Amino acid sequence: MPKVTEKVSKAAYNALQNIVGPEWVTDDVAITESYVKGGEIHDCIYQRGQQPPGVVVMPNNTEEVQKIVKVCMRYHLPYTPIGAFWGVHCGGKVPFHVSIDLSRMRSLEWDEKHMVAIVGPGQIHSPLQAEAQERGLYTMTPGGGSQAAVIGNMLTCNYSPLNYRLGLATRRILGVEWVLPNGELIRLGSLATSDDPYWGEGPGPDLRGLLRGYLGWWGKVGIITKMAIKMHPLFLPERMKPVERGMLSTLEFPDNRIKWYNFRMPSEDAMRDAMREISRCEIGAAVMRVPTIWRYRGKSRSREDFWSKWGPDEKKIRDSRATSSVCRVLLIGYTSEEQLKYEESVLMGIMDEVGGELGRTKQSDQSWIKNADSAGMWWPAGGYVSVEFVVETLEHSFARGKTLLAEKESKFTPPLVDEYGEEGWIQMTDMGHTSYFEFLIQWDPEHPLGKYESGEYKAWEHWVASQRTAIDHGQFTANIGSLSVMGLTGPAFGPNYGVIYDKVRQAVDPLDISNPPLDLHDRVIDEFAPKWKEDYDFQTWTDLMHDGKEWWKVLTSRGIEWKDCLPEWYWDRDDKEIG
Amino acid sequence: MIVEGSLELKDYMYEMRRCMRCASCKWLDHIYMPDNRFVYRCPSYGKYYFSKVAYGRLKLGLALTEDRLKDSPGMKDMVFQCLMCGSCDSGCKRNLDLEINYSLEALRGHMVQDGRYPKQHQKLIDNVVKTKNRYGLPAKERTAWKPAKAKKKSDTVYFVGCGASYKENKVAQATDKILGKLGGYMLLPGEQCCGHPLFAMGHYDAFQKQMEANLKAMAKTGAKRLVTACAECYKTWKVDYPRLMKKSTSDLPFEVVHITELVDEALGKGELEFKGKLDMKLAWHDPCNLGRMSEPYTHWEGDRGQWGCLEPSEGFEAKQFNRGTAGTYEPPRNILAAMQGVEVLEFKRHHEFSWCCGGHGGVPEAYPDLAAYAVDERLEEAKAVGAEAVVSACPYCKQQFEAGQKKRDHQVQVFDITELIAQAL
Amino acid sequence: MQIKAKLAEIVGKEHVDATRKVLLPYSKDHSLLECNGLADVVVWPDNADQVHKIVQLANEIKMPVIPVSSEQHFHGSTLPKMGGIIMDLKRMNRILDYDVPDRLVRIEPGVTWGQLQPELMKIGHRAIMPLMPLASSSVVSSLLEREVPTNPRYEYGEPMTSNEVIWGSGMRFRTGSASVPGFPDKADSKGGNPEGPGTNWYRFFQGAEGTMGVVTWSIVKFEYLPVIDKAYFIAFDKIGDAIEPLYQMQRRMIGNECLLINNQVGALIFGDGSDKTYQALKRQLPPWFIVLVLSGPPRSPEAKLAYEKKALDEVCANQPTVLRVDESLPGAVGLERKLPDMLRKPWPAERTYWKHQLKGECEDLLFIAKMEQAAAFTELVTETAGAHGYDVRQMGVYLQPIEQGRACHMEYQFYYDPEDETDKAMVKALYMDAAAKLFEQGAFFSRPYSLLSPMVFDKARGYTNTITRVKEVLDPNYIMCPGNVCF
Repeated sequence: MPKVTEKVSKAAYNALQNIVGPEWVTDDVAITESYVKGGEIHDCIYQRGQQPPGVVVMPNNTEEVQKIVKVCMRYHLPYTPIGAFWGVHCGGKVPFHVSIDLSRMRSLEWDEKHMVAIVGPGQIHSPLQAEAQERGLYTMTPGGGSQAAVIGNMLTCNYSPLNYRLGLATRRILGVEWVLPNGELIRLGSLATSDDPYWGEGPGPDLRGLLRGYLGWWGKVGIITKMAIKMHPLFLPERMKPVERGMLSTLEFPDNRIKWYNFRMPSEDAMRDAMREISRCEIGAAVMRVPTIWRYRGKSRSREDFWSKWGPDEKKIRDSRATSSVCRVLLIGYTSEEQLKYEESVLMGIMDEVGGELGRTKQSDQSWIKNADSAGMWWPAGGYVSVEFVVETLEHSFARGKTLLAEKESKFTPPLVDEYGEEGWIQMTDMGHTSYFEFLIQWDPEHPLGKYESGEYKAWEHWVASQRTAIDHGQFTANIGSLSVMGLTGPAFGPNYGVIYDKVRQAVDPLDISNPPLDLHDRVIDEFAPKWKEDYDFQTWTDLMHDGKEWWKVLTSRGIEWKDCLPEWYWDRDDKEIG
Repeated sequence: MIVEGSLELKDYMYEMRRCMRCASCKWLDHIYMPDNRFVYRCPSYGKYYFSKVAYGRLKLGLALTEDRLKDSPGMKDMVFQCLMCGSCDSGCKRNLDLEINYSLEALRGHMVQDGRYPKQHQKLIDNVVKTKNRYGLPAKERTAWKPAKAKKKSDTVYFVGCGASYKENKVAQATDKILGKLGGYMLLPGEQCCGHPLFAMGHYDAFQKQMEANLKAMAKTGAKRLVTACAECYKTWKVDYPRLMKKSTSDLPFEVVHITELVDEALGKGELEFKGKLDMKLAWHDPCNLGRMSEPYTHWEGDRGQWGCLEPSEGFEAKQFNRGTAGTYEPPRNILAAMQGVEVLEFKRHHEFSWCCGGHGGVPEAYPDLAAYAVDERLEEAKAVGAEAVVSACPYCKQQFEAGQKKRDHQVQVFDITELIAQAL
Repeated sequence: MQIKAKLAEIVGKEHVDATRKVLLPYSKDHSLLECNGLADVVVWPDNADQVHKIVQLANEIKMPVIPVSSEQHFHGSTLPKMGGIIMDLKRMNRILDYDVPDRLVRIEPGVTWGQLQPELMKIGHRAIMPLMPLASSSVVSSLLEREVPTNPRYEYGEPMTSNEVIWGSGMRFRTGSASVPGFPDKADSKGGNPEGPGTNWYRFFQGAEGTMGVVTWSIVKFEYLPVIDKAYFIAFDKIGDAIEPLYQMQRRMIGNECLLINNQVGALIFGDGSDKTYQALKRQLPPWFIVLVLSGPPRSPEAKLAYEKKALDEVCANQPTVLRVDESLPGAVGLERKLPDMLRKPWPAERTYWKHQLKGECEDLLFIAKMEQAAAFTELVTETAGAHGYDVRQMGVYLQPIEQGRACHMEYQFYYDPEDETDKAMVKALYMDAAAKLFEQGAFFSRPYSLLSPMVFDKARGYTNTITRVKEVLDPNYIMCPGNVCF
């Protein structure tokens, strides 16, 4: 039985009220209930560690954020900062945590001449893109979707095919205002010594190194209350116009300056050669290999419609696996119309040489300039997660894809959706020096197969297994840091990055107060899937580093263990009927 | 077994579990996001923040159904501080297959059954039950607006509705004039409140009684067509009545038409012509119940199989998802475009993501602050697009806009489209 | 056992020296910082294992370590401010491996520009370089220093990817995607991603002046060598007149190498080292000029040059006074043919470094700014320089646009005679004064070396406290370059 029923104390609640005013703080369960990310069916088992907060508080500015954090410090209350709360990992893990909902802080300021937007933590991508285009600029909307908070996304993921030309998120962060877990306010980049956040480096050794790695901390090192980010010059005389509505809403492309091309490639080698050559010639705005299932999804108007085609086409897809992948290229005439014509002729020349065949291509976009369809990833089967989404070289992408496919097909399909030999999604990044690789899996969350066998369990196990195979094959993975099994990755990468990673976090969060714990996934596995520790050969982080003893100071200072925080119904979950 | 349109909360476990908090229920369609000012589609969220939006309500519904929560001081407000405008439903359905409207209606009904609803709603409910109109006024005053062109018998019934009958008489009078030019009409003998406010507030049993009475009266007329100038009545007759009868709109023995559809058709055929010249820059406001909420209802029954695929029961075809995009949007736009001297401006939030005026769902009665916020927002939006006037097609929208304009003097004129049509004729 | 003996056990006795004669040069560099003491010992490790052991030893005995990779130094970062071990990495000068398809090369810290660029050019590529560094300058150091490249074309910037580092704590570590087990020989990863593991460690040792650890190899991006090039020059009387055209050219992504310099810098870079040529160039070069190189890639290079030139002409025609785009520079006949190559190669080793040609030494006042501030800053620095008695006609000014003109690197060069104490003192006073005034006006000193560190880090107190906490994890005994940055 869970022992922790502790609410936020009256004194702490009053203190929060005094900061933001009574209408901006609540402990009503009708509201707090919904501050657990995604309900039961969203990503996976790792949501099991998440709890409704004791209190939700909505500050309106940096000063209020600082004061709230100081209250949390004083009363030893763990807190979770959330922007749009689109990322599942933002959810809090202890029942008396304070959810600091930053949605009101949607400020948006500009330095148009220097292509800088300065955003608050509640700001999302589509208003930013709309306002940017009014000013002759544009931004990169991530695959996560327009609904992702700009700051939250820049601190965690922010991947898109446009990374090819525009670079990784970590390089697009400029000056930053940051409330540390102890409530101290610091500023990075040029904001450290002036009021202008237009430049991000330093001063001296660059503290942006502590904002994120390949992925981020998900709120474990405090709260960013303002971020200046790089914008890019719009190559059109005016903003792109929306057309169609509903599921078909999209931005129309003036195809003299921005144009898509879909090529059917005769082989994997042809795909590889084309991608390399396009990058070497420095043409393009995006270059990617698109998974076959997406073509089917794109053409379907309902889930039933999708399955009526996907299932029967299995043999056809398997037989033509090498040729069923599409190389999708976006060209932009950044300098002029002539540039697009030039790049098109180079592109066609390359494709001629490798045997790529141009197919019909719609000149519009609903995914990358103003992403509106990311929620559609959940549409075919209901359960979806990317077990991998890593940037490394192109060969690594191919290799990782083969590794994960072999694992998926041999151990996890069914219940995962069979994609008939799909090796994943590849996008060139950093002008071809690297490529982004994503491996997406889907399952039916309603299929009641029980503990260890259900789609939810198998998806999660696939995720754990993917970290094991990354280690065994010397492959890089997104699943390092707080989105990983720390007991697995902590000793392996670096090696021993886990030790300094945890230490450097503690250096700014000595109370373990900012969205703890670091090793959530180890704990969830310990509780719900302990057999994987043996199957994949690891100890949990707590066992490795703390002799199995509870280490979060916000818990230990109260004599609480994490196990005590999990509500009763979690244990019943695997046995109960679903649907 | 899934029965389309069920009012039982437990029948929406799929929706409540599958909601992934993508917040499409809160934000405008991102493709159409116009700027950083007019970003929300949900007035409840815009006013109250926290999770006072569909995703929050679905999670509450899930907790109630799974018996993890019982009650709380804020639970009633969480459920009823919602205009039931349907914008969240079309937002969600841009990408997914969740029935958000149905879920929220079921949640509301669940609270009503438990007796947990705003006490301020009771007066309106009692008014409808006792006096058959929402205002509590004498039934005999329903036709005091003087229907000049009404006939004793016609194939077209003009269902006036409480709003136009008792308060916005100009709407009724204008419609009377219009229908007079289109061959005339008859009134529904013993017309009662269509029941829309009861439905919107979650009182489905009381609604059922209104429905039965009106359907009976309509059947007696033998008319083939029911026309209304009220968006709420339109949606109720077209969508809610067949739904509660477990029939489709197409199964009704009569056609349900909004006055704008009739006029648009007549203009197209040359049966009507605009002579008068108006002189204004106006913004057309899509009423929720004329637009996204009024797509024809198609009844469906079946089951959900693997991958969540819906399998129709015998006698049914594939389920139709009403995504809000096929509502009655173009007829009023066509009409306004045909008027001389009128510059028609589009709100930034239009069509299926039109911003609710705030006059729906029992909100003006129980949460006047939310109603005021919603209408002020819309009038600010009108000014932002350069409009001198706001035009809509629902007496309740008109009342809301007039109230907002009067209270805070936005300097925006307010019209119902029937008034402009009548003037232009 | 004495430190020298212990080090000899690690590297061999022929690679350790503690004699005064050998130590003395390490206590001087081209900066204005005075270093009064000597290091205790110099050691020349050959590989990362040895570096690792040295750092571990230093931790045991709490002795400072100062890593050094280039032959010459300019900013005071390598001066042994508190004694210690000079770890001279010049023996670690191997180009370890190439990954040509991904355009990545792994190099040790002792690899110089003079070494790397020719090797890359042999295979049809080149690394993106700052403005004419010394051939003997370490490539890794240059990237760690965040020296700004002359080619602002690449939005993603930052040529450095993964690294191996020995942290000040003695922990041996690989950053980025090189952190995978088995790297490099038993791994599918090629080290192309700089990020992670966990957090972006590489940022901590960039701009750190050696205070966090010792980088023992880095993976660096390189790009194709253009097939054809065409250099253009646009002349101005005033720096302010060049700014708007630069903004517009950069926004439209025209060209590769692009810089704005005054005739002082031009005369030094484009001269042959003789006073006669220098004087002639000073007279004939325009007061200010933009240098822009249009380059053709492996396919259809002429077509690319054509559309870029057209766009350039449009920009120039669009100015209040139509700008003339010249294919040559007055006083520098034939430069246009040599220039692209000059900008892609380090300063020839056999020639006196261009910054030292005039008087023997040069102090760079460098910072990040917005291009629109250039005119006002130049006026301020000119005034300040004049007030201190500096001959402003001999002040070098270099503006390097960064990433499509979103910012720029500004550099003011003050030349002085190192043997003349008065001259030196004057330049130092001028440097400090100008820096303080610029700082007040919003100039961003993103790499505030030695003399300027207190000014910057005192103002950025919160930042300083936090980076110190990071330092305490990575170098808990404070052995790495004490006295540098804010440590």
